[in-house]
Amino acid sequence: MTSARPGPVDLPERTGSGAVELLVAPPAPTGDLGAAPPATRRGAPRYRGLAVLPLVAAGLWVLGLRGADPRAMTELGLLSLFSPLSVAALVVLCVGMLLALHWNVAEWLLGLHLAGYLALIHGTPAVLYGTVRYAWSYKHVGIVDYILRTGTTDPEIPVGGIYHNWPGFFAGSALLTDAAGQADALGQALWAPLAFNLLTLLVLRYVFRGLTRNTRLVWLGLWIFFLITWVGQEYFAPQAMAFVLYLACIGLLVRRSITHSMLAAFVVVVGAVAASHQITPMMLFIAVSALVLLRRTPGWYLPVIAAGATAAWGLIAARSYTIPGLREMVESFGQPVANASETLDKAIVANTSQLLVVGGGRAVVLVATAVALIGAWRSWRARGLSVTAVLLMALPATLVLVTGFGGEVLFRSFLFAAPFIAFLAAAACLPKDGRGFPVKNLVLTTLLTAVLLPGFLLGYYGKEHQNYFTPAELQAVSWVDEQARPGSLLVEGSRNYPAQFRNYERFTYVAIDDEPQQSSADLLVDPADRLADWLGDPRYTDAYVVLTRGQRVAVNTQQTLPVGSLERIETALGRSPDFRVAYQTADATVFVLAGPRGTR
Amino acid sequence: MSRRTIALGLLAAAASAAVLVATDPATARVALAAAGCLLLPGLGWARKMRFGDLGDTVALALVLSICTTVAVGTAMAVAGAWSLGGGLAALALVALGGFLPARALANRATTAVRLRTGGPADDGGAWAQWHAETLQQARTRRRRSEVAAREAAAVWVDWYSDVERRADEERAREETDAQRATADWIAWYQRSQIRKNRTNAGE
Repeated sequence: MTSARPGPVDLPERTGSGAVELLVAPPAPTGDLGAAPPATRRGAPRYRGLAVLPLVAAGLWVLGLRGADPRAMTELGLLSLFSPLSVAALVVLCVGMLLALHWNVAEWLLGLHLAGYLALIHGTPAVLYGTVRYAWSYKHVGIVDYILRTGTTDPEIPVGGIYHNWPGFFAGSALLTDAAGQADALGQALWAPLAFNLLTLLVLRYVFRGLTRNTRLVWLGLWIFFLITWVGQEYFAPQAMAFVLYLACIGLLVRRSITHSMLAAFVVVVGAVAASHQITPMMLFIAVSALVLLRRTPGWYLPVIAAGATAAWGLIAARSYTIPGLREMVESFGQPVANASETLDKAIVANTSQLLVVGGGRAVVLVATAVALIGAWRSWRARGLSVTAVLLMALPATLVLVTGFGGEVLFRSFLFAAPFIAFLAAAACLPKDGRGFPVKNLVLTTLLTAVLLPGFLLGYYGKEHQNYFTPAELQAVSWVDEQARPGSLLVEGSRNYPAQFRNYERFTYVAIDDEPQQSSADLLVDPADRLADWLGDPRYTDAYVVLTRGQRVAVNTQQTLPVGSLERIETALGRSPDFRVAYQTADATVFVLAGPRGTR
Repeated sequence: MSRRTIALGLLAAAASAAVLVATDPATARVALAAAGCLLLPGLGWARKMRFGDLGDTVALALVLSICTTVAVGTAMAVAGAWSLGGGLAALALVALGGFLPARALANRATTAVRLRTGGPADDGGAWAQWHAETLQQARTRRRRSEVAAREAAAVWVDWYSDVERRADEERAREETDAQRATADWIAWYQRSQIRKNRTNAGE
């Protein structure tokens, strides 16, 4: 029996005519296949013992974080609550995963390890905090609340207009919330990070299986992907869903051939993406166009479908947002340095802990990209280069040319490139001929894991002390949302608190740390007097000042105001005869004017 | 995955759902809503795409279900016509469409219409008999090709592991040969050096 050598990436590369050249040609089945393969193979009892390791890791993790108080987090975030048992749990999980790859066990065992890893990393905040993390999650819950209350969207709404113009994610979430009989989407938001990561695992496996038939390469790529994506875009947000749909589209296109049913699925998915997010359709159009132009996939009509769906939604359903925003987009076009700087400038480094957090994340990006380039080079030398993967790794960089996306473009570029960075980095860890996983490669992969994992933990968990909100804060904000009359003014210390998740459109929000420098400086000189003027404004039916623990942490960490400013404001209002405390919990205080409004 | 396994799995899921509904209706409703919005609408359509891999099928089922839920929710929200019943009915229709063998039903409907309208050209049932036999033959062919595809996949897996084993053996043989060649060369070198030294000593 003769056979060709399989390369590291051994799926046939597509030519423009649609003909498929097999790099590996399995023989026709015959009666005699030579000697039987060794008895110790996939699913054999010896390897099933590996299934215990994720459970052991989970047990160690739970024990390690037992009694941990999220309020005690320092500027290293959740890492400051880690104990030796937590580290041991991660070590056990990594060892189990790497051994599973080395022994080439059944896929369900590999999946169990990876799912266990995701459950520990992304499920822990939901269990430990008991509240939804990250302020933007609450704002998105607020959009779902609006749809549930009114049954519609309002493209002209002054606050959160972008969400009403691309309502796909929120409308879908509202339907799910309504069907589940829930009052709000907080339950979905709580578990969204874990759910989106598990969904990404399934869909990304589908993508990688379209690029290679080497199971080790697929699962090693998945492992590295979940070690490098620290950007944290999988919270309850349209981007998380749009990213999964983007991967699904790519997965459909990197198959051997595109059937009618796959084309129909592509159209459906593109439509959902166009109605849900702004930057993902752009990325999808760029990726699809490049794949078609470079003949990695057939179908001249695919970019037309992607562009058509995006333009149709943007210019028809979302015209009230798109057309005024076109000018800003044209101005930011072709300004890669300015666009990239918007993201880089957001990183505040005021002390060693913050330097570690920022540096850890950036180091992961650099190391992973370097290893991916090595993988691409080795694959090219072995004549097994996946041009598709290289293309899809490089293309997201073009987003920086197009838009700054509110200072988020570099994060989003890395997010879209990460799957293919991981894929090529995995190719670097395997032997050049793609066969087996000898001890030398196992050691290299272990070293890579040891370098990436700490950086990932720093980047992902490093800001949790800002992202965590206590139940007491949530309670205070809920009180305000229920008590305040429509048309009220809410003055907040900063936007980093669980705000705008109920009746959000009824209020006007003013963040003290968002004020122009002169205005905030004047306010800090005499907070009671200045705020009394604001709250006395007769344009508003009611007025509140909401100061919470989360706001103080954010202001003191990011230094959007001088350190201790919110504490001084709270003290000043507490002492001022012009103010009284309307509601107070352990972590939040709500002030209102003591006398009738409009009498100053 | 055999039909028996699928049937057992469905039975277990139904039993779990019944227990959950009886003991904790609120959680049961959440679970049913999640399944109804995030899995069922796309499951039938994903199965029709015949990926041959459970993971791929589930991945596309989830993606298509999410897209369907987004589409239905967006249509209702943008139109200002929110209706839970309407939304769930739309999702159910999509789910049903995925599980129905549309092509087979269309063929049967076409056949039935032709039979009813084929009065003057009645051939005494010969066409209907031919059609039934052709369908049966097509079913038999499809079953045979599915079995052949499964066997071929198994053969490929066996072939691949066999190739790996042979490559390892070849590598070991090459290493042994290289070591032997090195030892031979060293022996020859030593012999030739001894001979040369003797020659030089003799001189």
